[in-house]
Amino acid sequence: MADIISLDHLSVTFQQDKEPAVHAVSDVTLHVEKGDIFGVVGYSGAGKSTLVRTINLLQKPTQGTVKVAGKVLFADGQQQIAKKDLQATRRNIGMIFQHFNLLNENTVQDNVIFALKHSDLSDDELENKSLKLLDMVGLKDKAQAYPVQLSGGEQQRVAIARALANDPEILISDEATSALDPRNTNQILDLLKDLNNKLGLTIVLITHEMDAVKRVANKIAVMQKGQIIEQGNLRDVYLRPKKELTRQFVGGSLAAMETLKAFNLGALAPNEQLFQVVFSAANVTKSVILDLYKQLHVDVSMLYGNIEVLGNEPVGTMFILVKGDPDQLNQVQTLLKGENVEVTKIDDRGIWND
Amino acid sequence: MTELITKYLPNVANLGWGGDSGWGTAIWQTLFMTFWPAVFGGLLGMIFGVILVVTKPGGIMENRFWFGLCDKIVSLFRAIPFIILLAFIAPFTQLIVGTQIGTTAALVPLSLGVFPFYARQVQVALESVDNGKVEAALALGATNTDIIFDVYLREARSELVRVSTVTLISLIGLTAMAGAIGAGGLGNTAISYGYNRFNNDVTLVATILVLLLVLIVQLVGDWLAKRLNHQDR
Repeated sequence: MADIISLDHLSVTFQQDKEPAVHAVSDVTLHVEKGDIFGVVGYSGAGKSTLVRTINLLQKPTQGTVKVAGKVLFADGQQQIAKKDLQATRRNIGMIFQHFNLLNENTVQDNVIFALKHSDLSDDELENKSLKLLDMVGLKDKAQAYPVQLSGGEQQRVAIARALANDPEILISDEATSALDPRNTNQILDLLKDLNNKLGLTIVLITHEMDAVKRVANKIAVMQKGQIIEQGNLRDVYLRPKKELTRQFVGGSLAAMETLKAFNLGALAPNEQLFQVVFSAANVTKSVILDLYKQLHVDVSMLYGNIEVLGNEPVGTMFILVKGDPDQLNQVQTLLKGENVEVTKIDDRGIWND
Repeated sequence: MTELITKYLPNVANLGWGGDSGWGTAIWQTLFMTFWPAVFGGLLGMIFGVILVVTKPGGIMENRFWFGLCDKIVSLFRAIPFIILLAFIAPFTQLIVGTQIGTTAALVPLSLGVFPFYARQVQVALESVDNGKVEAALALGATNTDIIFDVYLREARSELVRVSTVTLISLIGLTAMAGAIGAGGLGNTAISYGYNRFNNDVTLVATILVLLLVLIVQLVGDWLAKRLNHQDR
């Protein structure tokens, strides 16, 4: 499928008087296909928000090319499109935010109608369309309420209705679930997934919560210090993370590390090694630990285990402590790879000193 | 009632209602000198306040030149004490309203005196609008006009009412000084017919009337500001 968003060799540099330049985004290339739910993850300050803001030119890049729905918006260090056209293009790119950013002095319905200000709908059509949108997010009965009277989850639904008012092809979600409780987060994510299915909406989802990406995304990019250090299909990146940071984000590694720290195991003994084992749907039911014991005669204790659902597919993560002589330990990785599971030897310093 | 006033506040009664020195005339002049400068100064202050917010660095129509110019004009006029401003711009007043003395002549310095104060207040009120809302509007393809009217002015409306109340009250204070150029009003009554003639009862009544006016403005302002507020703070 064709790319609906192409960011090529994009850089954003903030230059303040006398202070060293801040490279918020450096030489990032990102392509989103129509119908994707593209998750961009990374810690705060990694440049995620700055990057996605270049899609609708809320943030002007310093270098690079921005192309959306076949139109070049930015290239050669300059905006390539007239202001009026940019405004029209922006209506094709919905955006939702962490703090909702609704207009508090307007009713819920007027917030949606505000987005339709430049459409050529009659008053009746505006009324109908805004109610239809609110109905879609399950808030038709709150049309006359003010945002302050709604819960966070409801406000974000209004923001979604508003963002979709002009029937955009793209929706950008900038940490849209970060201020919500887990239940509301999942409801909003499911709503986004549903909109993706029903309307073929392309969604770019920025978040620091891996769970959100796992729940809905089909592709993922991991950002660190203004660069994308890894990107690809969610499943590939999840099961075969190449970079340390990615490993921290996926596979429940962080949660596992916390758990391990809580056990306060101290340093590993010389004859012990710690492995992270990630296995996909087909192997979820396989007894890896038993195989290790049977074939290598090593002691295996499971320190952490978790099965997660990626999209609709279950993927398991385990942390196992293997005890044995060096020969045996060397064979562990080979054996597990043969089992078609992803295995990573964890350096204990990574756990106790990080 | 009339007897009581004549008995206890003889000088107040002596001034009468109508005529040059009458209470009715003074009240009318004060209202007149509050109303028109509130309209002209308010409009000017609003325009400057909006320009300051939209042209500031990082604003939606960032413009170093206009921001700097408006900022300096506002600062300059705020720095001039009102009583000096009255004298200073007398030629300009003559040019605009054709006279340098009287109630009408006071309208020009009052408008110019109140506008920079109001401009700063409007600026602060508009800056209290979360930048996220502006960004959200931009992302929806809103034009600059949309953002000024539908986001900035509308979102800050309660705050604007509040600062307008403050400005109006300070304007009532300024009208008292306009008495210095023969503009009349309650301030003039308190000074010329009260203080200067040792008629303390006149000063007292004039003060109470000004306080009443201020109180009404404050109460209406507070009520309106509360009614228009749907922010979650």
